[in-house]
Amino acid sequence: MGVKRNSEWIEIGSAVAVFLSFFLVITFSTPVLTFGAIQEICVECHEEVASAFESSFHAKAWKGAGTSGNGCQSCHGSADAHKDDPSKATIITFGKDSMQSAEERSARCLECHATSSNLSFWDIGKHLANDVTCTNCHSIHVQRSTVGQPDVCFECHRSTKAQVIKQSRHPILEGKVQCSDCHNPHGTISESMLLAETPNLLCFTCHADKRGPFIWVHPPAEENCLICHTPHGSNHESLMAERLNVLCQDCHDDRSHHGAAYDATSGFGGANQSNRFVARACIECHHTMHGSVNFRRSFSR
Amino acid sequence: MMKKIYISMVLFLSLAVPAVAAATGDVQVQGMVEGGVQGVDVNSKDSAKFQEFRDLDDGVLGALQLNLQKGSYFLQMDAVNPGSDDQAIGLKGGDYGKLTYKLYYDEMPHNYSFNAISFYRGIGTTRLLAPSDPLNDDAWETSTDTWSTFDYTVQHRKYGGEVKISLPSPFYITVGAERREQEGNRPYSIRENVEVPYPVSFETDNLNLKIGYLKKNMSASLSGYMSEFTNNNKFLYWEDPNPSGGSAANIPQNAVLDPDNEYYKLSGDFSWRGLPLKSTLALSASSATLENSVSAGEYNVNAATMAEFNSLNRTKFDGDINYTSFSMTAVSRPIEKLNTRLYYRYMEKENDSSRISYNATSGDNAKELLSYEKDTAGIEAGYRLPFRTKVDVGYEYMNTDRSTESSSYTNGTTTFYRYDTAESTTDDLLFVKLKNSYLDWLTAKIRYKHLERDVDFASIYNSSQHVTRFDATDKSVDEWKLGVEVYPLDRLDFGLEFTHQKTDYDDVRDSRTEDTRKKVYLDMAWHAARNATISSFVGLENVETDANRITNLDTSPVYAQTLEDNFWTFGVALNVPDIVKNLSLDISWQYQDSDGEVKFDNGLTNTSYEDINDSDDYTKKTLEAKAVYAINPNLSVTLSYLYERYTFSDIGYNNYQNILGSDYYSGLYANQNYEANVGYLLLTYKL
Repeated sequence: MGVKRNSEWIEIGSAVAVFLSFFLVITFSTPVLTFGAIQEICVECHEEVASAFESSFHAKAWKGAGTSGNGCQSCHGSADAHKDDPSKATIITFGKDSMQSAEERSARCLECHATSSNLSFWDIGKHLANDVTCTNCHSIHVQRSTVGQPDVCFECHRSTKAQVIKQSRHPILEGKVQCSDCHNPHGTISESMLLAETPNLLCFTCHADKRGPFIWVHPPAEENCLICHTPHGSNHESLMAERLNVLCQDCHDDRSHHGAAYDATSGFGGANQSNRFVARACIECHHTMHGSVNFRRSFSR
Repeated sequence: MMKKIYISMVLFLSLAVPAVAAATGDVQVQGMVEGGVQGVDVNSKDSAKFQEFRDLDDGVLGALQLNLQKGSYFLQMDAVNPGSDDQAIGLKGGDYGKLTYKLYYDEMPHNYSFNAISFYRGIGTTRLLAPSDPLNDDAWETSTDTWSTFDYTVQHRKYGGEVKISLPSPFYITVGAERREQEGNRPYSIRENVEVPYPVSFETDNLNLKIGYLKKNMSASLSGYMSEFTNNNKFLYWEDPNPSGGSAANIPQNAVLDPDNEYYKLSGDFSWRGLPLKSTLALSASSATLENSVSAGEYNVNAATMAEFNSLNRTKFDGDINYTSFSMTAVSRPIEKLNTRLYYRYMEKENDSSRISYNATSGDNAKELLSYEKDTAGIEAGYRLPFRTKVDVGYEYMNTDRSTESSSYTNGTTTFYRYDTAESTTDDLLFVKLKNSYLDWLTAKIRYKHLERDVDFASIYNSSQHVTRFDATDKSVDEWKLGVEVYPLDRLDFGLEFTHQKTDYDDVRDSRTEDTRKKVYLDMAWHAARNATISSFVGLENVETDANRITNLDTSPVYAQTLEDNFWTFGVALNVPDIVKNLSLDISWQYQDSDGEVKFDNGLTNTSYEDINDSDDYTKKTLEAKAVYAINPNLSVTLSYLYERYTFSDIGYNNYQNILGSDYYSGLYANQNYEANVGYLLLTYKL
């Protein structure tokens, strides 16, 4: 705890300088634009939405590409019938109460975005198969096209929402790990929409020190990290799937101390010091459980 | 390092900004800059848990966001907490339809534990020296008053960039480079029960290249990926403070640390939409190699530091693991209301690394070099019934063959068989799902899943292996999942999710025998008057795992054990955009409680084991309040307050001692409890 170091003030100052360089350039600009493709027919009833759309990422992208598309009707379809009968049945909508199917709504987006490399596997993805459509996650009227992770994901994935707040977790709430760092919500050909062929190959992206190859390996660690770890959050240290010694004993429970009953007398204050069960338990000795390049046999794993 | 990053970004901006400015059309600018002061008060012996992934400290804080748009050019910049240990700076821009690029710098602390202590000198380096106790030549320093204090913390940094160029349609190319760094100390142990810091100095360099072809109905891409991991510390030299015999001879030894490695991957993806029967076909294949080369000399392992050195069959290890994968998925709609999916996945991991023999009788590590093949195939069908009802059924088959190149080895009179023949597990998975959204205000889903796993081991239990491997035994899993979304009023939403999963480990003599998991989640959002929103979330989890345990190769279980974990959380949040004119308010409260216990059944052999009542128990309370006052449409002031209280209790840390017999503990995780108050005042200017 303490006041920031002077060097950090220099860094902050240079960050402000970066901002000022932007400011100087934009001083010479004309900041007001009107998106001409908003049909007056829509503005008559949807003034607030139409106004917001003018500053949206979508509108700017169209404007930048030298086209106005067909304004609101590019996505919402023809307004002719809707003008006479202003119900949801006469216009394409994208909310929860839409009259169109998820597939139909996605198809509207794919008319332009089908040639996005991010969507190559959209058709085979689990989201489409479960009636999740683009606008479940994306807001097309906002200034930026970013999706507010993880909150948007948690609207459906409630169990994950409960897991990421637990005492042992990835830094998801801090925004340092995002859902899309591990999963591709637009569809993959792998299981659980992972960004790699297996959980291990995905985990190794950040945990490259666990890759090996090792002289001595721990077979479960070699096959699947998720045998021992639960990735979204855990009540137990180091994202362990269970209390550590119990988890180890689920494979190693015979001979010597492996199968010993580590009960309430085995801790620091307990009587059973020969079979110690203190602090981090098993890994106080078996510390290289992911593998090692130890040229010795003992405690190699 | 940070100065270099900033200079790079300024240089980049000096190119990017004029490019935007030179583009035709008017410029649109949106953005935000904010700055303020923060005060932090923490009451804890070890506040690492409070700051596990964040830099919360007294001082200044700020953020910057800028969107620049001119014609088809755009530029976005974000900076969060500049100058702090958890800062993130990003730039993203491009020319629509032609080019996109991004640059990023992101860092984060991972604080494990503060104020740890050790008798060792040289903490944080690769040489740990054990001074003898001035009062007793046969022991190390037993007075903790003279021990060194240090923190278990690792600083993570990630920076890089990526450019995607759309070549003359329909081709594109993506190139990216990235470096990840880790510096600091993380928990480790040497010998048995001697906690020391592992001096972390990792660098990982990643490079990716992708060339693609993209049409509305077809896409194809070829990707290359290289990743090189370097550990600047190969080994940890340490003096044994209490070698056999009790003499403080300071026998030096080396603990080998994680090895360097290089990973190369070549992959191809293909998808084809618009095939007959409204089908889409997707294919993917990859080939990857993971390798390294480790010599004993590099790790300072020699006859002087390892008595068995001369018994080694070789002193150089060549790591060589090859991954091969192929995947295919086809989705179709043969008739209007029917959707089908067929898929197949193949994954092979082949470990061709060197075999290291410790000595002539103890065999070698070939028994450990796991290779496997996985074949997965499945079929799913979904049919839309009347009344907006959809039924989905599916079946998946998965076979895993595990093997090593070694057949068997003998130690004395015992023959060991580890993966002597291909061990395989076969999974048959079946699911049925029903979903109805006939009512505008209600959507309900129910799913049943059944998994049957069979193994072809000669015997699940193999006494020579000393393992049972709960994940590779016969088992059957039944899972029910219920989901309900209710919108009873225009502004009121409810969501409910309930899961019940039961796993029976059939034919298991010992190890895990049964596993039952029950989970309930409920959330609610009410959009009340004046645009106020009240939301809440409740989660309840119960996990119960039963096991029979044996000891010393007994032929029947000696005791039965039940692990029970109960977790529950409750959160409520209130957002009022205009509680009074120009003043908005956010308040949230969250509580979580984890209560675990391990119970023993002493009836099997009349043993007398005592139940554990403190099994990773903890509670956490979090209160957040934020008020934002808009002075004018562009300028606002934010006052925020955060309160957190965390308590942890586990039998493994009760009555904690730094010295227990000949073992030494550094205080890692021993004092995690904290109570913290954080307040900040921010001024925000929006462009």
